[in-house]
Amino acid sequence: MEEIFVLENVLEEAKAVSVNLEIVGLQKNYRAVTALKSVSMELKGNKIIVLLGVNGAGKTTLMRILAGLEKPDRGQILFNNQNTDPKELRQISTLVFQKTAMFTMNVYQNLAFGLKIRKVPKEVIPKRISDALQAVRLIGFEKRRAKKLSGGEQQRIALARAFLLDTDVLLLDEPTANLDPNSSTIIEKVIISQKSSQRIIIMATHNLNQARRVADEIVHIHDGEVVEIAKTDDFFENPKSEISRKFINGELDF
Amino acid sequence: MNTATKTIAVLLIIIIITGIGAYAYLQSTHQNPQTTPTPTPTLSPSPSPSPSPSPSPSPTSSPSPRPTASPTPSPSPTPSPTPMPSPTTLRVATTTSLYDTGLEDTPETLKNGTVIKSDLKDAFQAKYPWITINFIALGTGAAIASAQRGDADMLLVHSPSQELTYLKGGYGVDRKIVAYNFFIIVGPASDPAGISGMSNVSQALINIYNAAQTPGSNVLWFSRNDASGTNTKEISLWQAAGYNYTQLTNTTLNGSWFKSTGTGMGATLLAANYYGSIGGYTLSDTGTYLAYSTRGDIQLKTLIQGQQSLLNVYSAIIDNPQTITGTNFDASLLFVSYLASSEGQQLIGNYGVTLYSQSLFTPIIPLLSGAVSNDTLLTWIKSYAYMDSTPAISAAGTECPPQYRYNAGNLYSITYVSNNNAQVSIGLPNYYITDGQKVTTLQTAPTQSNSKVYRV
Amino acid sequence: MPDIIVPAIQQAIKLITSGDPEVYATVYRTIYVAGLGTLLSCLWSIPIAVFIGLYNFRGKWVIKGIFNALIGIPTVALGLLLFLLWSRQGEFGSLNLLYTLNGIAIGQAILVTPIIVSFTANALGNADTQLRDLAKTLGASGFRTNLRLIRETFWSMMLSVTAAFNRGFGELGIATIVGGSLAGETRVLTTSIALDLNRGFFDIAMAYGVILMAIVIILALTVSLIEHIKNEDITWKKFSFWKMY
Repeated sequence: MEEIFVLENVLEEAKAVSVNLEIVGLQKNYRAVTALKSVSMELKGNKIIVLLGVNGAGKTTLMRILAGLEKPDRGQILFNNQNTDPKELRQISTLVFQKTAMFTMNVYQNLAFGLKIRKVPKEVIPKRISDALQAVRLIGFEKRRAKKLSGGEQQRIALARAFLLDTDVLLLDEPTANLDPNSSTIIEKVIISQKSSQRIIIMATHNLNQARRVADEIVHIHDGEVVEIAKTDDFFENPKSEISRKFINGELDF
Repeated sequence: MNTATKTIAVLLIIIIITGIGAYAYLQSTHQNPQTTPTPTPTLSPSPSPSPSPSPSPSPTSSPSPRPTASPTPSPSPTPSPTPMPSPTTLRVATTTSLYDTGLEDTPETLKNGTVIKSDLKDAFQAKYPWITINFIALGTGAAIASAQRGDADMLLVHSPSQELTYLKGGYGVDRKIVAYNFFIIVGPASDPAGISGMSNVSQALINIYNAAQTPGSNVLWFSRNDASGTNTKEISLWQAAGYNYTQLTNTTLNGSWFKSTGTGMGATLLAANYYGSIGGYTLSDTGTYLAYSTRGDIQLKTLIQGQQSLLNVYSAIIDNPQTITGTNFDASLLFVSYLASSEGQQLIGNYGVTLYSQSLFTPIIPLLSGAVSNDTLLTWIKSYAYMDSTPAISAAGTECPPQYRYNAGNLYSITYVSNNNAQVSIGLPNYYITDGQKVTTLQTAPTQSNSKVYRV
Repeated sequence: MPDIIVPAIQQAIKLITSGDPEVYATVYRTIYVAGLGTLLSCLWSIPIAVFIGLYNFRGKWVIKGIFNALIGIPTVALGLLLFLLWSRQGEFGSLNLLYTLNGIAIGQAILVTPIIVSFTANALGNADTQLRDLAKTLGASGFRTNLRLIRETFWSMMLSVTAAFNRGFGELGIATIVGGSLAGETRVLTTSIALDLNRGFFDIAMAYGVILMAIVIILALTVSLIEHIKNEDITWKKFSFWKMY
């Protein structure tokens, strides 16, 4: 039986009220292309919300806006019922990119980057980093140059880097795209272990099976709009919209 | 049109416009030089007004020799229906000091742009329109090397010792002296070494040397140290004063009062003027010094002038067609003959008068052919620049030892005939110190001279 | 062509091994002025480049364009301008910079400023936008993000610094006009070449040219080598040098 290594800093006391993220009427255009037409939803903590949709549907755009990397043309994002601007969002959330990015430093420095910014005390950092590496099964990789790692290794480092930040919103864009099925499963378990009432996890994936395994809620986005939001089982067994039904069956032509 | 097409169209337009512009420019530089404003007949500020010789042909220049090997019949100066010979280019390697005076291809113009004197190139090309002259200005050493390689057809330089070597090596023929002037020693107005007005150049250099040795002195000497004609003269002056030039340039032996610039005359004058708090002394040719000081670029004063050891003689040598291939002997001979012709000599003699109130060069043919007489000067020139058949520098020789003459025609029997047959005596040219005071008595002025600037 | 280059290389070796102190002094002076000039220029160029590269402002393209254009400023024009400013009648004549090595260095510092500014600003601007996003999403403020980007593009900056040094090392106009090429004082490699050319000693001139090029090439290779070592593209094992690409 594999043991699941749980990050120490994840163990928190359950709080009565969970965090919530409310998205109201988000619109985003890039030059002539409308990436998001009008997106509204309400997301709560203690859940993993999976964004499903075909390529170009608007998943990445939505995630980048939630991460505070883009400014929406219209709409609001309320965190705990408070309006936010991109700057605040950057502190509240962190995004793991689909195509991993590594600084030209070694693994330790990459991981420590965010911690140093948040002024985590120096004595605590090494332990946290080694715990994080343990969780993603990359023990002892501290001194390796991050850019020289394989795709899968880089992805796991990127995940560890995000987990370390302990943000309120965790955004993951195809987090296991480069991993073999075995590693995928392990990482899925780590992601699940990140769930807490104080954290909202939003994940984008193509992998329907992964969605089934991991998600508590499914948000199906198509053509810049939210087509359907439902609990996982409801979504897959009883899709309410025609588009969703076609998508699940692999018949969706775009 | 999409972006790519637009870009290509714009590029094509630019290329076409550049091409047309280049073509037009090249055409204009091949124009008959007569189209440039012809010299006005009057010289307003000159002390003794006289009709200036126009570059158009005068009957007196017909005796100038025509080489028998000329391309087609009748290089006659008057526009005639006879066909011109095929166009050819003449490359003249000259020294930077001579070139920078502008005698060769810069007309003398007033500040308002009026051309008062045309230059040798325009005048010659007006007379022989099928020949295009290009002057290549280099240090004497490089000019000689250039001619030796055949990159130039002839030399116009001022370094008899180096000219002798050139002739000796078989590279040159038909040496012809065309003009002379004097070097000058210039320096700071405060003259810390106290050499102003001295007649003994060697003693002056000794004074400079000794003054420079005393601790705390600010006496500096600037040398070109670039094997130029001026530098060659400077080396001989130091030698006459008893110093070894190579040792002088050795900064570890001498400390730093002896500065070698390695650059041209103008740059060396600037260094002598602007270095440190007062600058220093240097040997300069007249033309460059006058050009810089009348423009106010330097404040150095002329301290020693007009001495025998400062004589500066300009000669032309044609590349030996027997040893250097691909050179233009005929055009060279035409040009040298032109320089020695009365018209050329007048052009040389009058250059600089309006801008600097004195000639920069004194034409030599009148002196050599007896049209004017000055025995002292003649002796000086012969001792400095004549060569015998050894070959060696010797007053008993001639301008060009006989073994180095080739197809010269009557190059060596050209005499001077003035326009109006006026007898003019010449003496040592006048020099002006930069604050405008004219020096009228010179230490070794020949007795018969009335120190008049030579001109016709 | 080989009959020009080979004797030149032989002559260059002769010059170096002759032990002539003037040769070494000339090389030293050239390195001094180019090095000092480049260092000085970095002091003001890099902040300017950071500002241009990482911040957006009105008219940015005009400023960039001007710096790009000034990269090719003719050295004689700049040398002449400085000569006029620093001569006794000029505004800054009291600085006594003419005919000194430091004067040449300052002139070269001005000369290479557009090179450092343009190259560095470009490198910063082109820095992987992903890295910028990464820094931001990890919580870095604008300032810290820029700092990170500067460190990420450090080797591109080194490239611009090397290019700047090379430009100063091989320029003639400023060294001649401002420095005067005084033997033993302000004579550098380029003015030595010009001088020997004027004297007609083409072989010695070519030899100096060979020395100049050799130094430039060695420097460029060294910087590249250090970059690769720091990026751990190679280790100290003997033949791994050739595996670099």
